[in-house]
Amino acid sequence: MRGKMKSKKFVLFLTLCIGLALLVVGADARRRRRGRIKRAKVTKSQLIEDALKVYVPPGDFDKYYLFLSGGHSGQIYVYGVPSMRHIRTIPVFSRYSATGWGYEYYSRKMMGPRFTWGDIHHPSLSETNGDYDGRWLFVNDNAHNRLARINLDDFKVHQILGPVPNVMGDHASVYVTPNTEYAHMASRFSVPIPTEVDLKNHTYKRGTYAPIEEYKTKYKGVLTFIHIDPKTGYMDLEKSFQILMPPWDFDLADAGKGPSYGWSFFTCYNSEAEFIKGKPLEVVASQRDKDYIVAVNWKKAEQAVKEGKYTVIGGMKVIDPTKVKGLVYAMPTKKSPHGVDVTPDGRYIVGNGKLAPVTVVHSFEKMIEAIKTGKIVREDMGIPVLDENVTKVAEVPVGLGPLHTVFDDKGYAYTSLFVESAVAKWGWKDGLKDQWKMVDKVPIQYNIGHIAAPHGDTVKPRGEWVFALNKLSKGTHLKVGPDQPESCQLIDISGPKMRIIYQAWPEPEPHYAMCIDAKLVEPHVFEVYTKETNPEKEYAVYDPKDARVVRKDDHTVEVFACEIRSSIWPNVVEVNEGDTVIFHLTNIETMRDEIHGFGICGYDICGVPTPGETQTYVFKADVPGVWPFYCVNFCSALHQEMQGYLLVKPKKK
Amino acid sequence: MKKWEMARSLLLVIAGALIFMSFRYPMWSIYLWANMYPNGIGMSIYAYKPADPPDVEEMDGGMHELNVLNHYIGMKPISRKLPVFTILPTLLGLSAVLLILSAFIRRERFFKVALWVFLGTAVYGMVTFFYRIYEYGHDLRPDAAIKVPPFTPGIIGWNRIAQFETWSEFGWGTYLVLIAFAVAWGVYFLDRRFRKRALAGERA
Repeated sequence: MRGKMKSKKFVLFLTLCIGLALLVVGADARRRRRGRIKRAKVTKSQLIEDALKVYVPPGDFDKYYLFLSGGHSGQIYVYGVPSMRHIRTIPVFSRYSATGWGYEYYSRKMMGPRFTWGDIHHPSLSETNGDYDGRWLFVNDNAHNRLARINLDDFKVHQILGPVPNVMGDHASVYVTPNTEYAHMASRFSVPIPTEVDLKNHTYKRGTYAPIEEYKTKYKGVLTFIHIDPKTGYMDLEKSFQILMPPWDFDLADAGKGPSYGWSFFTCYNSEAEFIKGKPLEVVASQRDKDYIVAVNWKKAEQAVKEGKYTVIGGMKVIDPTKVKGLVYAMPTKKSPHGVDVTPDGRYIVGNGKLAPVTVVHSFEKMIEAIKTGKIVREDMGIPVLDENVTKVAEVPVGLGPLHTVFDDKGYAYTSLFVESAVAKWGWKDGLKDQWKMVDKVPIQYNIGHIAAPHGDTVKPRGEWVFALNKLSKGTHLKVGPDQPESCQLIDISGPKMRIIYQAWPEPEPHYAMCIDAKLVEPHVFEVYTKETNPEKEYAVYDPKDARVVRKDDHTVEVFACEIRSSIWPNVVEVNEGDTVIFHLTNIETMRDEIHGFGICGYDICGVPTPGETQTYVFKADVPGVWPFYCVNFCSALHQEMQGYLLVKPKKK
Repeated sequence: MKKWEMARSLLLVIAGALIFMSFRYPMWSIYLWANMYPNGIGMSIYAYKPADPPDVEEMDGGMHELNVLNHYIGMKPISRKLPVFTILPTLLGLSAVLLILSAFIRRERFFKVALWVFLGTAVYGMVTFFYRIYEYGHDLRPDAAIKVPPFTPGIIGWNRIAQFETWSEFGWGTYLVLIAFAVAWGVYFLDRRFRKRALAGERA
């Protein structure tokens, strides 16, 4: 009897043990199986459909240009959409030996002696009546407070303005006004002003000193409106003006359009107005539940400048909004708002509150109403704060970490969610039954910052696509070591659900991008310089017979050279040790893409004149000897033979 | 009786050994997944330290990454310096030593002391664990950049925190201690059974 009971107990005990073991092991297996985030399965026919949408066969052209900012690479990347192929790099603030930018005399002068890099965040295409017109691309320099203009007829930088006085950390830039009247600049970093500059040499002369404890009173935020000539695109500080603000750290901007034309909007994230030595700003600036979207009536400010209601600080015309009333108003917005985006119809202002799970939508009409009826709840450091219960019309619960919003042609908005690593789609247009409701969300890889769309911030977005400009590309490409490219994903918005159908890996590091219909740009792009359009035509030599070396004085030699398949004339240049050599080189090809180069072994010159172009290189012949020069850009069957010699005669001892 | 004596000693030594072995395995682990961490991140609590999970090589991040993320919501970094990471290993070690000694010292009182020390250790472990889990999720810095309502991280199974899916499980560190516990107390009850039988047998 006991024996049977014993064995029964034993069996029970054993079963319990096995059961427990299975539970433990099974749990582990369940965790491992479900743990990996799986990608959604795509059928073959869907795959083929997707592939055809992005495939542009050789010989065909993309439909759109995509101009990506290059961040701290100081460059602009030109991509084609939908193929997502990198077509070209346009160097702006950094030297780029591939095209000779920064080695040739005039580009070096534009960059100035002090800065060899810049931090381009937001390119902005020129606009007419609120839509892109394909003339110019303006870019900002977040590091050294400069603006640059790229002409879209030759895709080259024609003007670098700055550093601009008083503004520091130009992030809320460029976001041109609807007829390219002004470009915006604003202080991300509040500093004491003035900061005095030497514009000609593109450098700083002197900043203003104040201890950090006086942050609230002595450190200032500065909003800047840079005037742009409507015909030439020339940016002129004389016609520009600034608005003095408290040290609120301005983040981003957008220009009003349509009914809100004449106003601009800036977000800020440190309305706490504090910077404490030893205490992280990420804590200090995140205390208040709401910061502001600051609305500026630039049309009225323009008028105030004409009436002389400004002081000159650091050479700039600066308006104090606490003295000139009616120019600046603050709208409370959750919470450390990042991007501010005006809807295509110009009626709504979307604040993306990066630390709150919502986008806050203010109505422009309600804002004007609040101003007219005096619905001002308080003054914060002299700036009137409007009642948000009047201005705010919606809070759309989009998800974690909203940063930026762009629009399509069907009344929907697309907001990037950094923390959640996703894109949310929601309705904004009046009359839409989905207005203020989120209708779709798609995860992206990984951690999206900006978001872009064809004509996405204009009065007439084209729809079709949305570009996710992501911060992390880890694991989505072949391993390439610790330095990693960025990640730009193409989202197809044509169907009921957003779908990521393609991915590109731009070089570091795009922030924002502008997407324009190629038909608006291509017709006026040229590929060959004529004798009239040659920017340095006064130094041009069009016939090898006219190539010559001229001694200007005891220590200067000027060379007038030309190159064409497959020789450089003159092919022997004799100078003395210590001479300054001014070398003008003309590429006398007339055929597009017949690009030649110019490099001197042992000297730091790298020139790449394009067909019909004359470039100038200036250097000191400081090392005696015989130094070959050659065409560095492969040009022809006899490219190898395209060389000459620089003879530097040693100084007599 | 002799057979039981031998079996008993062996079992007690095994119980002690199991306790020592438990140090090597995590007592509790939590894994988190989100879109940007497809391979997951996580951490494990060992008797003597918080650390990366044992399979961290296949994952996207461990305890350090978790601490970096947690600082945005104001959660304290998980620290090796917590008293439990010194007290618990000491108590466990003491329990193990006492149990092993009880295999050879045939005093009932000694054995009872060992068992109570062991029980006290287990209670201390559980109470501290629940308390710390609660505290970490509720004692959030008021000046955190992202404000979340205080929460208790999941203790077992699937849960969700913000955009993260989490899986919590107890590990072999805990299981081995539990088994040692069952063995030690099992020996105690079997002791009483066998003594009863012996007495009954003597009477008979």
